[in-house]
Amino acid sequence: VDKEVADRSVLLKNMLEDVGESDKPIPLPNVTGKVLKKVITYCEHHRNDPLPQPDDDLDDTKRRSDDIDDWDADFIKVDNDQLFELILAANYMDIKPLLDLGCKTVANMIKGKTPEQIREMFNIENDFTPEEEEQIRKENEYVSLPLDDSMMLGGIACLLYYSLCIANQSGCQHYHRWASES
Amino acid sequence: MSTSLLALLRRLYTAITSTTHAQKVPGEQADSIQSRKERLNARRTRSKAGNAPPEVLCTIMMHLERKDLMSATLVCLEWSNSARRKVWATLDLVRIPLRHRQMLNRISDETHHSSRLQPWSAFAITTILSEWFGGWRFDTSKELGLPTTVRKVVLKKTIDFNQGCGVDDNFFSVLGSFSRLTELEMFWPRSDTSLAPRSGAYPDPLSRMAEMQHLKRLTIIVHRGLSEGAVWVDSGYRVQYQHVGFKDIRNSPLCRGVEHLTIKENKIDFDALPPLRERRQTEHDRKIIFSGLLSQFGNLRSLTCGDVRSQSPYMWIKWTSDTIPFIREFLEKMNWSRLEHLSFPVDFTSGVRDLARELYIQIASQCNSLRSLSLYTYSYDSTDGGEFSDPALITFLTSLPALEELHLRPTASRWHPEREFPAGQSDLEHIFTRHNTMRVFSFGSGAVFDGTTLAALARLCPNLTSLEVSTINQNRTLTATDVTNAVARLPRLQELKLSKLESRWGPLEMAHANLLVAHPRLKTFEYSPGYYVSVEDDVEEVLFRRFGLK
Repeated sequence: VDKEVADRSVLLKNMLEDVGESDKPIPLPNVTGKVLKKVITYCEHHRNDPLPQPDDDLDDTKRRSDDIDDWDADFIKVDNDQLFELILAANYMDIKPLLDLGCKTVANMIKGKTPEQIREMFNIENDFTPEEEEQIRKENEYVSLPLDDSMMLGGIACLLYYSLCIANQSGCQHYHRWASES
Repeated sequence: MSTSLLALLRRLYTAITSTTHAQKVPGEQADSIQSRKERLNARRTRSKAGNAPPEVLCTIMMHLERKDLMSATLVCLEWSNSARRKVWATLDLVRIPLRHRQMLNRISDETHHSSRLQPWSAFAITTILSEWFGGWRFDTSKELGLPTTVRKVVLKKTIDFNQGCGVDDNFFSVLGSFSRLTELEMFWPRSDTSLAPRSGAYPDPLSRMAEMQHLKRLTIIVHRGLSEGAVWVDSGYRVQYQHVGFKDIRNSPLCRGVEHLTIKENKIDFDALPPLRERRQTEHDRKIIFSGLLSQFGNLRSLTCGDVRSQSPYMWIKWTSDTIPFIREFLEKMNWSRLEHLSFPVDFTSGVRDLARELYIQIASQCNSLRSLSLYTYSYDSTDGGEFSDPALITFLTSLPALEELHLRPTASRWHPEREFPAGQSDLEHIFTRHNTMRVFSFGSGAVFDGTTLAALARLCPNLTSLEVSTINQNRTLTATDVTNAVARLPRLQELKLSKLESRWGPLEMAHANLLVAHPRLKTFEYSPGYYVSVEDDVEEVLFRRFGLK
């Protein structure tokens, strides 16, 4: 693998710097050969891309999950098992764009699903105790209640006003039609 | 004995035959093996998705909207903690009634049955605004109901210095209740608001904050142009003022913990300044800031003094001869080794030039991890030493091994007339050659940058993603064609800013605009030519359609 390709991984880049010019092998104990092959394919394709910056996460545009380009979308079409293997390898090897790609794909798969469907999709065991589950449901209940009573009253008032306006406007139209006809 | 031997043989035979039978795989047993394999695979997958490390889960959650985050909170324990952290970050607490916020706290406090779920307060990133309104007030409408959940205290934008500098004991007592504060923006207290000596009651911010062990980012705003001095005249009487500076709290939790330190100066409101006779020199401020404040922080990763990239980068206008001991002390005490970001102004007047050179040498020899440097160098003498290419500066700029981002604002008017680098390179070419992997470069306020320099930059640093050129003197030539030629050589450029270019800048024509529009990666183009150059409407229209309003 070219150094330029290997440098896409911060882990490898640092290790290569440590090893220097010697021919010492670099161990990657947490990545299988199959996954590594896939990772190298990704790095070779993106060898000329600018390297990500530490403050990239602050950029809101990077948080979108619908901006995956065609090659990446095709590359990441793998089964769920391999998808998570790729994500974990990207995380271990510190290849941020690949980690983002995998995580965006998982996020896209999660969208619109219930907790049960998500568990089923990724074979995740429900390890909550009933008390913990109850606690989270309570939290969510409060967090998803954004409207204060006064706001609700304001909303009702607005609705009434809007209805009156429509009624008034329609009344005026009736009046004008009646006036012009007579 | 023979009977028992026979029984043993029978048992052995049964065992062998039963094993042999098991090796013959009937259809239903094969299914069972298959299902076992599937279950094993499922468990392996589960262990990957369900037990993914928090940083992976956080990245997944980053791309989810509120509704899906709520679902993720109920998937499993690991997912829940990451998803709840993200839910917290997106909460607009102002929209949640106080009683619900208190209820959240209560849930959090009453969680005796599970220590596995992280409490809400652990996710807190509450930012509150502080303002002066006849006394310090903290806008608590955004907090969760507990001072311990507050993480950031920032100043309200509309606050003015004359109000804000009234930092008093009350300010610190309220601040002290935010025990887990990570970020603080505050005014440097001004003791001379009433022009009366207050040495006894003078609050020393550093010692008041010494125990803040979680504070990572500290921004202090000092007042420019009006400062305390040794002596001034009040109502016709000479008043002696006793200086009170920073206490030495070098090894306090605060000084060990802060990683990002910013010293800003307020904009001068000349109407608010007292008469000239009451204005005092600022040496004392420099002393307390250089030797008392900056050098105490032992683990700084980022030090910003003034905003070098802004339109008013001035900070401590002159390094007078009185200042030399303080700056030398600062150079000796400051720990430069962990610094990754430095934004600093350097006075280059002949009287303090050697000190500036010492500063360059000190930073160059210790800052091996410096990634971003913003340097404002000023007060070059026109007759002696007015060249940008001072050897110490060039050595400094070329000796930083990790530099990726460079912002230069020199007021120098010319190059060194004699010195040349290998292959006949100019100073800047030499710097560009050394930092050929640089990503961000900006240059302004100077008369030594032109079309030739820009071409060299584009040729030598092809990885640039951001380029800014501003306030190019009218004696230098930098044309629109120079810019488009450079842009064509920078395939990764995403941001281009051109501002205050003087009269030799030719008009930006349609051909130039088309070249900029055709660039595959350019996202931002900001352009504000000098007073004498206008852009045709149709060119503006083309640029607007591609880059929006800038």
